[in-house]
Amino acid sequence: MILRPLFREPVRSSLTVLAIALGVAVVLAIDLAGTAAAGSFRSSMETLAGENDLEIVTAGGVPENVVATLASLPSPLRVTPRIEDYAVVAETKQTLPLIGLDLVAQADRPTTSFSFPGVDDAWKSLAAKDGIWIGESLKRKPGEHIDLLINDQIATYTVRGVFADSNGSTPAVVMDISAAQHALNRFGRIDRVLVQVPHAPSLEDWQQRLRQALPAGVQVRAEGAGTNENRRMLAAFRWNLRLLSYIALVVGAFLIYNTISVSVVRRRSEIGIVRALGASRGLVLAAFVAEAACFGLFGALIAMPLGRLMAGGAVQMMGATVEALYVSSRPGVIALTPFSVLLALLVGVGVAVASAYSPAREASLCRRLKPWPADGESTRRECIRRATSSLLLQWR
Amino acid sequence: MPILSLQSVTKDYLAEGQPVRALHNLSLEVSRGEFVALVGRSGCGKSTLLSLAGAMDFPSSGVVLVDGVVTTSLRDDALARIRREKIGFIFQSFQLIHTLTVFENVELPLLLAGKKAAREVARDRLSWVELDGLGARYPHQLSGGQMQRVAIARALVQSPAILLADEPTGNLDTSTGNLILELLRRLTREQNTATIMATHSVEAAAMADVVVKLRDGEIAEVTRR
Repeated sequence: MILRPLFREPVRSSLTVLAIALGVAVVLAIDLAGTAAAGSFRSSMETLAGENDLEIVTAGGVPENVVATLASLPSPLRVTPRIEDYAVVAETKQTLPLIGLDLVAQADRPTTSFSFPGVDDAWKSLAAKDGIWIGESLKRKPGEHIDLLINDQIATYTVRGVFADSNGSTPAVVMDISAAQHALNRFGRIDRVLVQVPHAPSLEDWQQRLRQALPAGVQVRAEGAGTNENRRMLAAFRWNLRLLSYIALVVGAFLIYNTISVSVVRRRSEIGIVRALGASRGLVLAAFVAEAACFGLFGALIAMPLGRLMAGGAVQMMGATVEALYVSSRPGVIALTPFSVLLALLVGVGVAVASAYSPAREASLCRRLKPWPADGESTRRECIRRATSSLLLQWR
Repeated sequence: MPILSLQSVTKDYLAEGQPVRALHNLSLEVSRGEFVALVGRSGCGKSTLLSLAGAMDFPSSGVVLVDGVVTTSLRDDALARIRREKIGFIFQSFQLIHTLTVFENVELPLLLAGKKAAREVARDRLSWVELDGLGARYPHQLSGGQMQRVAIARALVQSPAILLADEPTGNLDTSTGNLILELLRRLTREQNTATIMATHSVEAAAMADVVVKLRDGEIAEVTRR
C-alpha cells in the first residue's frame, strides 16, 4: 500500500525523489567541500614553528625587548620570535602566509625545515632584504624571482631556498625576521614569541614564571590557542554555509509536502477503507510517513554520489574563500565517510518525514472513516477541501 | 443478548452550516444469525445507521452497543479494534484497494490485526465465495460480481459477529445481485453472523429475515418473516 502507489506514478515519484536528492546533495556537497577545504587545515604558522609549549602575545605586537628578556632568563628556554602576515603572489593572486623567523637560530636547530647552501650564503641571504624561502609545493627553484604584494606594496623577491611542505602544512613564504619587519614596516615589534620549556616543572609553573618575568600586559598562553581561534572561525564559516545549503532542502520539503498532500486527497477513499477495516489513526499516520520516508531514502541514496560530484566544484570555491578570509590551506581529499552517509540519510529521511507529518496527520484525523457519504452530509469544510484538492490535482 | 443494540439513538449533522437530523430516537436490536434489511428512500438514515452500527461514527445522543460494549465511551484504538474483530463491511462500490491483489485485499484486515497465516485464511474465505484460483488477480481484472465476492470474503476474513452491507447489489446486474444476496443469506446462516443490509431493492429486502423501513430518520415499520 505504500510502495506500489509510488511505482504506479513514476513521473511524480521520480520528480519528488529528485527534488529531495538535489536538496540532500547540496547539503552533502557543502559538508564534504567544507571538510576538504578546511578539514586538512594545519596552519603553516603552526607547522613551521616546531614543537613549542607556550606563546607570548600582546595587543599591538610584542615589543622586541621581550625576546631579550626571555633570552636572558637563567633557564634553558628555546625562544622563537615570529612575525606573521600574508603575502599575495602578484602573478597568481594566491594568498600565502608570510612568516618572519629568526633564520639563524632556526638553522642551528635540528628540527628546522630550512636548508641553506652554506653558512656564508645564509648570511648573505639574510643580509639581503629580498630573500625568501618558500614551500616546495609552489614549484619555485632557488634563484628564481617572484613578485609579492606585501603591506599593499608589490616587490620582487628572490627565492633563496625551499622547504618541504608535503606533510600537510600549507605553502608559505618565510623571511628572516628583520626582512619581514622591513617588508611589513613593522619595526620594534613582533607578533608572537613561541617558547619551548623544559619538561619540569609543569607548564603552568613555567607560564607563571614567565608572567612574572615579563612586563604587564604581555599574555603568556598555551601554544596553539590562536589556531583554536582560527578553527572556531572556520567552524562558524562552515556552519554559515551549511545553513545556507539547507535552503535547497526547502524545495524538496515543499515537494514532499505537496506529494503527500495529494496522496492523502487521492487516497481518501482508501483511508476510509482501511479505517473501516480496523486500522487505527496511528497506523494511517505511520503509512503516510513511511511513504515519505521512502522518498527520503531513495533521495538520499541518489544524493550520495551526486553530492560527491558537486563537492568537487564546491571545494575550489570554498577553498578560495577560506584561503582569502581565514587561513591558507590546501584542499584535502573529498571522500564519502560513514558520517557523510549518515548525514545524507538523516537529512533525506528527516526532511521527508517532517514535511509529510502535517498531511499524514490530517489523513489520520480524517473524521470520515466510511468510504461512503452519510445521508446528506456535506459540510462547508468538505466543500473547501474538495476545491483545494481539485486545485492541487490540477497543479500536479 | 443482541449482538448489536441501538438505544434511543439520534444523529445530527451540520450540512451547509445547517443542522440536519439523520436519525431520530431510533432503537433497534439485532441478534446473531439474523439477516436484516434496512429500506427507505435516499437520505432516510440507512447509511447513518450503518456508520453508527459499525463504530465509525458516534450518535449525537443515545447509546450504541456492539457485543455489549458501549462504543461512545471508547477511544479510537479501541473502536478500531472493534471494527477489526467484530464487524465486517461490504460496500456498494466494492471498495477494494486497486494496488493490492485479491489475496492481499482479503488478508488486509488480518494483517492490520497483526495475525499470522493470513494467506491461508484468505484462501479459505475465497473458497467460501467460490473464487478459488483468482487470488493473484488485481481488482481491475475481475467482473463486478467477482469484486463484490472479494469484498464479502474480505468482510468475513475475521469471522465477524456483525456484517454491514451498504447496497451490496447496487452496482450489479439482477442475476449477479441475486447470487450475491443468496451468498450473504447462506453465510449469515452458516457463520451465525448478524447481517444488516441497507438497500433500495425490494427484491433484496425480500430475502431478509427482518425488514426495517426507515422514514425521516425513524423506524416506520418492522416486518419479520
